[in-house]
Amino acid sequence: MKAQKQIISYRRRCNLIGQGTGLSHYILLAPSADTTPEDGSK
Amino acid sequence: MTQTDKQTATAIFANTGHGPNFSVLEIGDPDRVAVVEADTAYWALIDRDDLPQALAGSMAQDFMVRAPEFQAEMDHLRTGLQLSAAYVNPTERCNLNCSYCYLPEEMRKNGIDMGEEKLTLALERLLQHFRKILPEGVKPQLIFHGSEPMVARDAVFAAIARFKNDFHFGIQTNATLLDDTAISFLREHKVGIGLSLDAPTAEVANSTRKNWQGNGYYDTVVSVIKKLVDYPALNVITTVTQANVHTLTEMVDFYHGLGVRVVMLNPVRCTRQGGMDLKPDNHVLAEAFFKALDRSFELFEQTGRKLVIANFANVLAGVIGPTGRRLMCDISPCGGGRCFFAVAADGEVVPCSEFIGMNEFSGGNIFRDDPADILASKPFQEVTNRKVEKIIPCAGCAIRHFCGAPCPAEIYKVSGDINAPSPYCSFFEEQVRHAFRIISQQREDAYLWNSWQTETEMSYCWK
Repeated sequence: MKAQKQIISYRRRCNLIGQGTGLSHYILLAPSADTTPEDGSK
Repeated sequence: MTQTDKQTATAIFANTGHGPNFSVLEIGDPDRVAVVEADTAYWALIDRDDLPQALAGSMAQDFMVRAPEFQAEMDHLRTGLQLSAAYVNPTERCNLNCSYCYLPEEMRKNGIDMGEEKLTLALERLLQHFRKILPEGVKPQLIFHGSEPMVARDAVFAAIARFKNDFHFGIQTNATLLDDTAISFLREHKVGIGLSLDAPTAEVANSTRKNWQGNGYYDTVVSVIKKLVDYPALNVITTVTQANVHTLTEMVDFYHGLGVRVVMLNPVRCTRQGGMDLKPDNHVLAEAFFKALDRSFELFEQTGRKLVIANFANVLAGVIGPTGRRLMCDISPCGGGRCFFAVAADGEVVPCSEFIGMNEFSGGNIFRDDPADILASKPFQEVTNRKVEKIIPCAGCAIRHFCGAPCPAEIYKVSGDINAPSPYCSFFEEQVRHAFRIISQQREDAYLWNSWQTETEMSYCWK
């Protein structure tokens, strides 16, 4: 008999949505130039 | 037992009476199907044998408790956001003549420049408006877009230097005019840079992206990518057409090999005849696109280094956290005319760059009109009132808030009516099914920006 798989259901919320912003636009998809790259490399 | 307790204890059946409207989606996973409540963008992936629990039991009850919160979140996302970005075209001209460009040829060939003085005035007027509407400390985004903004390099760089503390700047450029001095300037001013490259070989890349004499710039663009590959705010756009759809997996290898971190593999917009002529078949596109996604996953597993395919990441983000999406194309109303707008070189303001050259969608002129009046104008309202609920078949589609039926400008050109489905409808369907398959495999983190986890928080989890 096949083992049943666990139900997956969740939802995340943007931390900045309350400011009416929090959404970047496509040219600014990459992380801010103020930060290090996402993988931590230089 | 109180009246409320009695109501909670009452069995709730989905799809009848006051119960939720749950759609069951076949997602192509061997074990699971998706259950979706379309209005709230709620979803659950469940074992096929567990369907009764979703349709008459604890899952339906759990949903009903959270539904008002999910609905309020969707309402805010769809109608409550402020303008936070402007695209500005400092010139109508372009040094290239790409086969699928969405801007009119005459404009790109012989058009006008805004000039430094007027560009400064435009940014000043935009800044005044943003200061009125955005919370203190929140910087608006200002993206120089084209045609080719580097044709107006002096005016653009003067504006970046002058307003460096006021905007987060970005520039979308074909890279052909980015010399070392320009690259240093953009790095120094922390400007987001978007470049365009369509294939991993010169032969294919140069077949669609070429100058007015028909010559391509593959070598130049690759050279610029190599110079910028360590720059965190770089992304590269590949426009997917019939000419390069068969190269997408190689493209992923190529970008990953170069060290690029964020790309978009955007299906060509059919906004003009050139784009329509090059549109790939939806089934062919889906197959090639998913193979490219699979390859990006393999490379991540092998190397620990991600190549984020951002247009897909955005769909995935839109499913697991609707407010965490970064692009505002795949939600209705789209972001055009409400989260951002585009300023043409003559000052005319349209909801999005895709509408430049369509005068019927101009909401006013930045040099003459208050941005608040432009946002409230009838042409803008036509776009900002475009909702999937008004479109057939989208109104009855379970994934209508994961897709959004983009793009109104493209659909207007193809159908003559913005309230029509997308020519890419079946591709978008497949893309959402693929996103659900990835969630079912619990691999979503491999496809998303690392920062997405910190930009968002868990607001609901089925136990």
